Amino acid sequence: MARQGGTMTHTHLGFETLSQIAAHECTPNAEAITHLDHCPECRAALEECARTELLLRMAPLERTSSDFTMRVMREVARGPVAVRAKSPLPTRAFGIGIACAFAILSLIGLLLPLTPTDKGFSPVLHQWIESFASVVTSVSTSAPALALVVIAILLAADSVISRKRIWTI
Amino acid sequence: MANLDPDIALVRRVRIGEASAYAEIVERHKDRAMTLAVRILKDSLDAEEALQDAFVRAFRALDRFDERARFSTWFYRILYNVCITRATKRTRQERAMPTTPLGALEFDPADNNSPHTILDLHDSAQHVRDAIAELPQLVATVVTLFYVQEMSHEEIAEITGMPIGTIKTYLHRGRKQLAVLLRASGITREYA
Repeated sequence: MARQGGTMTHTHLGFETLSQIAAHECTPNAEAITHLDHCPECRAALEECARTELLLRMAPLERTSSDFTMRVMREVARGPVAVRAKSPLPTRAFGIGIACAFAILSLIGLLLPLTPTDKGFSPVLHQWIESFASVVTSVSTSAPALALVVIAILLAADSVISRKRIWTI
Repeated sequence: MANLDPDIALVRRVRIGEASAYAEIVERHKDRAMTLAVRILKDSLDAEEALQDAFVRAFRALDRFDERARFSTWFYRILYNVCITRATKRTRQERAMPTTPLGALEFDPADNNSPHTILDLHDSAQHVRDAIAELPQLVATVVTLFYVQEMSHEEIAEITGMPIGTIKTYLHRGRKQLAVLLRASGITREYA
């Protein structure tokens, strides 16, 4: 029942099993527990594994020099900024909203001339619809151009804001 | 489920432009990360340079960090890659220009005044550190990530890109080698 290079004959528990038990990587089965109860050699080996485990977990950490964090932050401030500052404008949602609004407006502008406006409405309501139609028609003709202008402004604003150097230390 | 990683709150603060939050991240991780870098590169100065490089790279890539993951796993992957790249470059340079390390000339194991006997033999911590330093690079990396960073086999596999089976093999090899080294330095006893 001699141990050879940390491993044992079949009656003893092997180093791998013992070290895994010590590291709580596996729970010993009934057979292993019975063996450990009756084998002082394996118990001593398990204790040694547990001690090694403890020493490894308590091993001292390496230390950086005292100005390390400051040097990192200085380096971070010097280089190009990849972390984009959050734009105060809700650009994407806002842009989609604007585009949808203009799309709906353009659609109404296209469909309005097709709707019956001479019958079935009271004169006041008819007048309202006519004036609304003229406003919508005039806006809808320039809607695509307006949409492009708004999107361009939003993109430019976002780009300026996100490129702004914010890391001053 | 909400991510309970305390680093995530700091990452969010960095993302809205709060520089001091990144300094907090560096403070939180620097010593554990330095330990890993030293274990891979086996040189403090080189390790500190690599660590600084890793922190700067991580900062610049922060907008690509997925908050569902653990920050430490993501960061250690960057650090591991930086260290391995450095180690590979250094090995190439050493091959191109072979030199005899000073330590190898000065150290004589038979000499009673050798550094090993001058050191405080009862300083277990120092012996553990030395024992780990003697492990091969990848074994030392896995042992450090497991014991110092307290990472799971899966996380170590994610950081190093090695299969879980290989991680377990390296861990086993490391434990076995450390047991021998610690026994040799009198930290643990021979059990049979």
